[in-house]
Amino acid sequence: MKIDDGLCIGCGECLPYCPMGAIEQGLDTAVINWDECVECGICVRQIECPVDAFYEPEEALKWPRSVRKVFSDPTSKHENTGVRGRGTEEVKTNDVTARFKRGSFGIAIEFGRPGVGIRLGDVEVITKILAEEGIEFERANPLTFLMEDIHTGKIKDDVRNEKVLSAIVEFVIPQADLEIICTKIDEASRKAQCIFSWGLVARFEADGTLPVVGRLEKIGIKVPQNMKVNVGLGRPFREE
Amino acid sequence: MTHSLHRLGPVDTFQEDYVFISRPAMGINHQGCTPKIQRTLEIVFQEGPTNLGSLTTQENLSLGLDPQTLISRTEDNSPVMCCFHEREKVINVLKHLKEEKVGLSVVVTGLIDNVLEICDEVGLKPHSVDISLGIHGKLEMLPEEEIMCLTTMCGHGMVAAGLVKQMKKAVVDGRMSTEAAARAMTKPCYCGIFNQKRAEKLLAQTRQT
Repeated sequence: MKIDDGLCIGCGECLPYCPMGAIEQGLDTAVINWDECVECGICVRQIECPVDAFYEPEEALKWPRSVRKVFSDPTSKHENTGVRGRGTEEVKTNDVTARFKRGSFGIAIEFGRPGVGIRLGDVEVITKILAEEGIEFERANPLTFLMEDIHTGKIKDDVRNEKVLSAIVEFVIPQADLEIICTKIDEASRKAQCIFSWGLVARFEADGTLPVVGRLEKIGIKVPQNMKVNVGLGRPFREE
Repeated sequence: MTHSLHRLGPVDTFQEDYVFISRPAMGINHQGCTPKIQRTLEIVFQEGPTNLGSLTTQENLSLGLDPQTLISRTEDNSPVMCCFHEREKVINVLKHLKEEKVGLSVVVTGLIDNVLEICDEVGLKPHSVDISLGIHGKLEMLPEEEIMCLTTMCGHGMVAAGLVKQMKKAVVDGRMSTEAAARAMTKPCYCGIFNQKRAEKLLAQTRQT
């Protein structure tokens, strides 16, 4: 996004609204740090600018910068990547899709969350290690589309420096691999120059229990009590 | 895989926080499901959600979203995204959806014991769960946790840390009520899962400290 400096009156009212803190106060007007802006569009949509100085320039929609908008603006569609949304339907429709079956766990690592953002090349700190472990990245995920080689986890050169609000790596592991994969991710995270929030999808056991919680706690992962539960109302219901 | 998953904050602040999301599975049961989504919306509106949003109309309840307009603009791929602060309303919505056999998938995010109790009361057998494994990496890049308690309530990260800081200061200085500050923070969240009532409580705690 950009600010028309011919219109901006420098009131500064817009500064707090940018999730990336990319709106700065210049000498006479507010200015957008073009390199830090992730094109989420909140300034155009939400800020009640008294002179309507915010606008979306054409260059924001040209490759490779265009990936910023599709990964950051929840109102946009993935026209460049061919996939809608930052991730898949994941647990939301698992009672119908059986994407995550008994005997496996789904894992999603959302880079840049919460509220920090990510240069797409920085995800390699984790994706390369996962690729070495033989992880197959979810093909219906837009970040996978931006990998030069899904067997190495390397991100395409032309988008490496593009900053987005967040990008999600999704994959499925056999239940037996939980400890080794989580430990690898934890070790790699200590070298990361970025932040990520991550989560795991599991099926409830037939008796309603969640043995995975105990396994996670054994390897030092503190499991919060706030969880996202698919309550099993979807039809046609798929047990597996 | 993350939308409502990584809400941060003390456990007691989640006692009145339930995120409700319903949607069809694309390619499996989405074709012709608009009436089911519309019925889900009607049931939700009948109970009265704390907040509800739409990426289609780019609105939420605090921005004046009109239920009938939203229902009329529903398409086969429209998700229902909202939150409640009252447990009974979640129970009533789930009961209706079950009794009417609407058939769309539903996820409820909340304290696991509370959600499981609700499922038990409605007679539902939970299918799957998404568990947050926390935040890792270069943690010094993050704002203070008391800020993230509020920013993480928007599933798409649209509520800026700067806005939260400004609102908290306005409340502490006595220039804004907790209600007005919470409403201002709710506006950027079109997904509609920013729980204004929880925000008010968090802001009230700020004022006390």
